Amino acid sequence: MILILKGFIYSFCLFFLLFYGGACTPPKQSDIMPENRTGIKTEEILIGSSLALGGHAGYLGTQMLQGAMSYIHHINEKGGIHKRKLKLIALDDRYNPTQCLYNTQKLILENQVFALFCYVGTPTTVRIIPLVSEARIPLVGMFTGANRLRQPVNRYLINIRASYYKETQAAVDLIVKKRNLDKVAVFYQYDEYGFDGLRGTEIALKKYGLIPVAKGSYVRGTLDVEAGLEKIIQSEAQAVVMIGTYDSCAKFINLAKESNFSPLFHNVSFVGSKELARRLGKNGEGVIVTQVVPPPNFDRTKESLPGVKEYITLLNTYYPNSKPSFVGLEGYLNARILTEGLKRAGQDITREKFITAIESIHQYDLGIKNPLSFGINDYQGLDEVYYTMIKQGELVLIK
Amino acid sequence: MNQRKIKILVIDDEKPTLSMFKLFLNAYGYEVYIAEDGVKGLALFDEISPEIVFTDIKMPGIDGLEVLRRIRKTGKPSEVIIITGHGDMEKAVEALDLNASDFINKPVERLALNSALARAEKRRKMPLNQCFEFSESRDKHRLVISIKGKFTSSAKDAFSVLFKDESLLNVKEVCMTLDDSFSIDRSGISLLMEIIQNLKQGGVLIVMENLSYNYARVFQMAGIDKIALLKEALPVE
Amino acid sequence: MNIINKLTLKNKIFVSCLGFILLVSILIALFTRSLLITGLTSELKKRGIGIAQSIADSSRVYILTKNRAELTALAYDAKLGNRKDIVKYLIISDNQGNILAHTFTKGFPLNIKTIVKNQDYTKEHITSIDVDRDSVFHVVVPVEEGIYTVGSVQVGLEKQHIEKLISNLRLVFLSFLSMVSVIFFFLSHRLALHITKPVSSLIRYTDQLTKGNFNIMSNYDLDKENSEAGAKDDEIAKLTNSFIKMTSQLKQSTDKLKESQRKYRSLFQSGPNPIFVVNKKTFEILDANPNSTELFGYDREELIGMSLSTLGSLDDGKITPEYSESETMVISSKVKFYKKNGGSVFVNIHSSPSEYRNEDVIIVAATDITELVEKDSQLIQASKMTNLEKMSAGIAHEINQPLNAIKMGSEYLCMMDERKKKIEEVDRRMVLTQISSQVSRAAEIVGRLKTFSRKADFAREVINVNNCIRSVNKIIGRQITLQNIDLILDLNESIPSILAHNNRMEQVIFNLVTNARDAVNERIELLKDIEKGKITISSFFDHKTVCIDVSDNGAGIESDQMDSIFESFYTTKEMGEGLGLGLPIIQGIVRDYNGNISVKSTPGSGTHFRIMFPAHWTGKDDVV
Repeated sequence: MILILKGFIYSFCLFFLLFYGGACTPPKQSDIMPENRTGIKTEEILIGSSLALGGHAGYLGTQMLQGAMSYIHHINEKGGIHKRKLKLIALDDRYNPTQCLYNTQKLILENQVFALFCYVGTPTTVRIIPLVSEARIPLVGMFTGANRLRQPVNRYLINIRASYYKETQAAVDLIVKKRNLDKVAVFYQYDEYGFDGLRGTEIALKKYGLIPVAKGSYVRGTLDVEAGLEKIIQSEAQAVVMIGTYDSCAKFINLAKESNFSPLFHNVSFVGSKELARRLGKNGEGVIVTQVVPPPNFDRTKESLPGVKEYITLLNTYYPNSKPSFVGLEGYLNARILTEGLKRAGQDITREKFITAIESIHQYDLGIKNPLSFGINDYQGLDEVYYTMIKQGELVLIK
Repeated sequence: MNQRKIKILVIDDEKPTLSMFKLFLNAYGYEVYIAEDGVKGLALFDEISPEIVFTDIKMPGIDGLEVLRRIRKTGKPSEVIIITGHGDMEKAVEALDLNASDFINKPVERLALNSALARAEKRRKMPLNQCFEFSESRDKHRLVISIKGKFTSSAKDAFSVLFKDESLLNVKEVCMTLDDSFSIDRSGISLLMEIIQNLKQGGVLIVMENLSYNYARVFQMAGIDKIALLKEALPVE
Repeated sequence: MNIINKLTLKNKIFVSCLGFILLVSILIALFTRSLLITGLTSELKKRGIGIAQSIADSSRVYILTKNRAELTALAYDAKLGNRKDIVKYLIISDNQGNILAHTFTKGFPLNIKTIVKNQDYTKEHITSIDVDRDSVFHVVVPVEEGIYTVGSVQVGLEKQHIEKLISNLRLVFLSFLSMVSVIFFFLSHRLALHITKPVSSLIRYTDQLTKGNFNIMSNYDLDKENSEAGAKDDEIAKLTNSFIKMTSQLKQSTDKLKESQRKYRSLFQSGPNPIFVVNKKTFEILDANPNSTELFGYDREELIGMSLSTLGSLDDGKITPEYSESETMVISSKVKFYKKNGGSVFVNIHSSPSEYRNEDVIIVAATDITELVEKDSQLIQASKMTNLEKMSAGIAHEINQPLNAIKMGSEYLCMMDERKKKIEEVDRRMVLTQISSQVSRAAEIVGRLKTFSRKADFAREVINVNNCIRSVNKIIGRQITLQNIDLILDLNESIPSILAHNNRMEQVIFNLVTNARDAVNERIELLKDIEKGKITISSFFDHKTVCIDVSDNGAGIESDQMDSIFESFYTTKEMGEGLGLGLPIIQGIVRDYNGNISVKSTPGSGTHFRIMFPAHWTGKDDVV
């Protein structure tokens, strides 16, 4: 028996050595995790952003950027983080995924930015996921609730705002549970963003044992909402969950009102609520928009949230012509997180250390009564969804 | 002395012996005839009818005993003397059975020769076929028995009668006197021995007298001399 | 190679099986690997070209419009999904080699720009290059607009992909082969066991047998072991069975051998006679039993190594170094051997060829017959005495004749002298001469008697048997004729000599003649047959032998007595007549002279004795 055992071990070892050893290759240079210090200069930290500064979604990008930049300027004036000033390189991608990709490549390769920041839009941000993963460059703060940025968990994609799934869940909860409406239709942008929202709505509805009674869509960049509207009108939906942008959604609602179709209109935060409200005018009355950040109103009647207050104050400081908006507040919050992370990473900062620092942010008070938490495998900062309704052209927080 | 010389026939296969015999016997005054073998001897016997015959026992062809036998067959009276060598006891006794007159031993002594011749002459004068007779006389403790003739086993009865006689109980000595005509045969020798032994057991001394020289030898050969006293007859010159 | 030879059969089988499997596996693995590599490589290249081509198609427009963003998007698209594994990078260049779009997110590899620039865009090709210390297939596919090449799509295909596949495959192979080898390990082990276990048990069995231990394993045990090893009916079992049969035979033989060895050993040790083991060629003594030391007075150590001829003469034709194949025993009788102290012994030698410690030897057993020989001499003497007895009557008779003549002669002279008679001259001369010659005659008889009784010298002499016959005739001839028996001498005067002793020979002849005489007398007396007795002594010869015949027309010997006549003390004569020693002694004497005695007889009509001796043709060594 001993002999057999010995023989077995012997032959196994032999085989092992022969084949597996041969199979082994020396580990690739690239497989080793480098302590990447790209973008960190003695006095500067380079941050890159590609966002819609022009085009159909230009408002979103601009607002976000201003909100972020307000805080960044503020920090820079205070001396920066660990004696380094933040420098943000922002490139316009016009909400074009291709352009976004190109810009991002440029930012990573040519500009050699330390991190990516404040991206806008689902199709655009999603497009650069491979780049982010390959380059191992952190992306902080995206103006999109797309599921793909959150699942599968990617430590380089640091989401701050709540996901669309959360928003649609909230929407459905309100519609079905609160309002007891069971005929729910979905109007969505025919792209990644729209699909994501649709999916979220369907998942939410399934929980109540419902399915959308109608699904209508439009092509991104166009205002061809009629077909979709027709479909939804036909379905006699009692509520419409809308996943689109402000222009197309405004047109939709306006046309619906004109057609005497007045279901409950429910938008997600990405729509750009202020613009939406502006374009809707009277028709906007009663339209619900879920928000991922509290309304940025400097309401003298109520005690304002400190975070909001700071945003508004800083915005006024650096961009006096700009009015506070949800998107802008998001930008501000993104900047807050970015700086916090940079701060926590220390002087001897690397990308990995930065991410580790982000992971260490627990119950961080942004001053919006919504403490933010990250962790290992948790790169979703905020979870809270707010309901707002357009009342007299103003978005008012509702319960 | 007779006018006629006595004829002696000598038969022997030894030439020297014959020569000596012839010489001797001639010197004694006999008429000597010699033969070298039995056949020639018998032929001569028939021819000359000698009174005495000397014959050697051991001879090639017909031996001495056969010669004796044939001579007896002829019926002619003749004294046959057997010439013996040593150790020829058996032959001697056979010769006695055949009525040989006497024996002489080789080498032949004068005494023996003389004795034999004397006896032969005496016997010649005696009647033939003398029957056996014995007589006895008593002399105090001594018994004397005179024996004549041929002593054979037939004497047994006579002797037994004799010795049964109670008057003989006191006898201390028995003397047997032999006549010249005495002869004995085989059965006689054994009877004699028996008698002597019986007497000896009774503590009786036995004496035998008047034995011829040659008979003495024969008895010696038989061993009788050991159990009886043998007295020889005086030799004749 | 030696190592391999030194392995046990089981391990040999095992190692060879395993080795074979290993070899086959390696070969298969290598073959498959190369096959795979080539296959996969070509597949990869095809895919790469495919990818490049599809990108090329899509990028045409953007190259022309110099829409770098779109080109970049396209390039990155190429790396989507599972293409990520094979596409290391994708480059879209213009027809000048300038990179329009690429997928290098982490930075340009050092030489890539030059590589791109140096490519020939006009045709599709693949080269193997090193990028970032990785080996890649660099695919170049031209982007054509009509007949013009507007740019190129260059894809870097990861070889690692293939290698990863290969290594996966290797792993699979490895596990598979490990499993196979383990199975084979067991199988070959089992196989080896199946073969070798019975063989080992046979070996064990044989070893035990070699040690002489026949009892350790019965048939049953061996059988059981075989069936355990699964060798119930196959060749192994047959081998075992044959082996068992053989061993039981062997056992029997060995037992017998042991038995006989024991017997031999005990016989050798305790044998009352000296036994020597002697080298067949050199007559060197290899072993001697205790009795030989006793008899000859040498120590065993002295005896071993000594030549047998030291003990006694071996070259008188009695111990020959030649043995025919069929002979197992040769007997030489009455050989004279010498003790250490110089004393002599007479022995009968029994020698037989044998094998002793792989040498050809002769086992020489010597029977001490010194006493016998002495007794023999004594018997001969005794017989002579008996003969003498017999003779004495004759002698007595013989001597008596001359004595008688002398006696009578001298008596005559005395008598004549006493009687004072004159002796004739003739007579006196005759008497005196007779006396003298008869004395001589007597002396002669006495002389013959003396020679007759003398003990013989040992050394044989060259003699002529006719002389002996004549001497006997002188002694006893007359006596016989006196008994009316014709004694006829028929002698061949040209007979050669023989080696013997005169008086012994005379004794022999005398004895035969007296026996013949007694037989004749018996016939005449007991059987009452009157035919005249006749004894004939004849001598004759041929090239090698001298013969003496003594025949008579006596009573003859009954056939049932024929065998016994040469037995000592066998006699048909009455008590006191003869001891019955005559013929045995004659036989002894005849044999002493290397002669032979034979007898033929017809009861009632006669007997014929023949003695034969080897002729001794006269040479220079004769003793006359």
